[in-house]
Amino acid sequence: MNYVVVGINHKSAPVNVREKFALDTNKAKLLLKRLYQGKKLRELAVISTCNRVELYGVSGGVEEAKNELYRVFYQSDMVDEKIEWDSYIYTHENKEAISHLFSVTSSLDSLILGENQITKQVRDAYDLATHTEVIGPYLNQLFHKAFFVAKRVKTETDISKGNISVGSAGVLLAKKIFGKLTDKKVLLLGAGEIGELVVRYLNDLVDSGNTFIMNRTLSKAQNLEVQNLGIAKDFQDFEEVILEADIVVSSMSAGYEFLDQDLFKKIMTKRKNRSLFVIDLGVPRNIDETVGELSNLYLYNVDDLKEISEENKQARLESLNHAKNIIEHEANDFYDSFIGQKARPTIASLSQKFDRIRDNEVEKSLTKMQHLSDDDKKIIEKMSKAIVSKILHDPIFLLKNEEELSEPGVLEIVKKIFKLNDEEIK
Amino acid sequence: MNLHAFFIIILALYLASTLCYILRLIIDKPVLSVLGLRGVVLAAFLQTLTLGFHFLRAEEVFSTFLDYYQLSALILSYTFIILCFKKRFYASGLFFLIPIDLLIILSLTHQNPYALKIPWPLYGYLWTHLISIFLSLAVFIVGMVSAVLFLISERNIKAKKLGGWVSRLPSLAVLDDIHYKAVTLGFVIFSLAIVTGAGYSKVLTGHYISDDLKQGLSIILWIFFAVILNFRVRKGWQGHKGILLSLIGLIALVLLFFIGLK
Repeated sequence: MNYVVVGINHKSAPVNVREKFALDTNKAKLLLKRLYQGKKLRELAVISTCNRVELYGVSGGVEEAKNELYRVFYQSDMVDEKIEWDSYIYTHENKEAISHLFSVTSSLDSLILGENQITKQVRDAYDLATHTEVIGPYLNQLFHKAFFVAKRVKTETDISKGNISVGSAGVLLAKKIFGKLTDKKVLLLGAGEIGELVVRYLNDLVDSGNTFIMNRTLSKAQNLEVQNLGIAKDFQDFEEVILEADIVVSSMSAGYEFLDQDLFKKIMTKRKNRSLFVIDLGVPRNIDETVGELSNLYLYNVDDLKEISEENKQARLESLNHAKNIIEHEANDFYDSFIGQKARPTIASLSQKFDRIRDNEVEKSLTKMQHLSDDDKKIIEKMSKAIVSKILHDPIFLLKNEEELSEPGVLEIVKKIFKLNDEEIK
Repeated sequence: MNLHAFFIIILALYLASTLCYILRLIIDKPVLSVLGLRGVVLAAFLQTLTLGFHFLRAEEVFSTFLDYYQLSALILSYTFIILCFKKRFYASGLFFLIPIDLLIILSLTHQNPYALKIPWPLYGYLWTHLISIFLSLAVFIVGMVSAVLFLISERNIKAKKLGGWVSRLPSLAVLDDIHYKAVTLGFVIFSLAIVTGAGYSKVLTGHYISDDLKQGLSIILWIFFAVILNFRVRKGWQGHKGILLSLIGLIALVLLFFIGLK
């Protein structure tokens, strides 16, 4: 039984690969159910954001988890096309897996270092796994610990202070293009969370009434209008509204690039080539990347925010090191307790078995030695306990030892040698 | 103390500022920009005083090319200083200082009177013509610098490279706006230069247009800019396309200026 993670993220794969693995809530639910039914993974959770898709689980080993994921992915309608994923996928096991989740939740592994969204996204992933009933005590503990670590990192370091989030990165770029943003018009396509976040940042600088929201489902746009994000518009008026806009933030879960170069060519001509800043936050992307080749049109997608994040990372290297230390310390602690936890049932079963044997044998012997005084009987009882304790000392020490236990099959060997059955252990 | 010595000191100050801005590109020390700007402010102040004294002492103002070159350089200096304080142009110091240095050096090598006592209205035409030529030169250089900065900055934004000295430049909109205003103002002054040039030619030769190549080229460039400015408003030739075309025109104009002067 091991903690495993199999994933793909903004460091391991470009957006055009990541978008093929992107999972919306329904797909993520389906994946969790199918994997759980396969019984190779005992507990499961999947984090799917625009920057990463990661499967966390408790299984026999990371290879087993990877193969199972591969099987479920490709033997079903999860992905449209088969991708040779070995060069993009990374895997971690046990301490590395724990440490990885802590880094992800604390935003150390994020595109934008120190951004706060990811903690919420991990919480959503945890909630989804809980609702799908594929999570158990091990992942429960791990995720709760991850939230605790994220909070510690946030409060004890400056990693989130003055950070460039996706939202502020969007504002920074808009300022580089337009300078003052007060009279600029913003169009939000889709009701995705990141898009909403970016627009909230922009709204701090643009005049009120200059933000428009469009979604295929008008009611969703109207919901955002109620929250004072902007004015909801019918999606049918897209070409009309975009003529007015200076900044377009697209975060639709369309599943394909539905805005192409020809459309933007037409739009730019009608706009008399007025500058247009387009942020494509959709994964899969909403906008064909060749759109960025058009004159006076500046197209950025989530990956393009990497550079800003990197600059940001340098500026807060000290906080980063502090945060890394916290994570390492917490991951070690958690892993030590996990190891103890992992071996605890076997240790308990082993002790119980030896105690039972000792009890039986002592009882048998004492019935034959009725002449002994109570003090003598106590001495024999004490001696038998000491013998059992000394015999068990080495095997228990081995089971509590992290390095020894990391060897595959150690627990199984112990169980076999001492004939401990699984029912007893549970 | 001879005024010439003051012009040398002014040149030395501009060159020192240029050096600060060159070093600023290599070393990440913001203090170099501050020193560079202070050097320009001091040089511009000294240049204003020196030119003032020079004009007070001279029998005729703008009687040598030193005056004209100095005037162009001074306009550029003040434009740079104003843009620094108003639009945060600190990072563009080198781009302004190179032409300023060149103009000051040219001023020191062109001190001979260009026109002896010539009769009115010929003198009036020539005087207005040269003033407007040198004014438009300074304004067009501002347009040229902002065009170059726009293209560099835009290339970086398109390539998603946001670091380095380019990140300290003003926004694309500001650069585009300054470029547009500079070209528009330069075009108006240049129009005046063409009209007064034609007037001068008429008085001198009896024809508004002579077979002088630079006159023909000037008119072609004037039409070129008229088209660019018109298309910017009507067809949206702003941003990259418009600025690139305009930059070609500006380079041609500056070259024509120096060829014409020869």
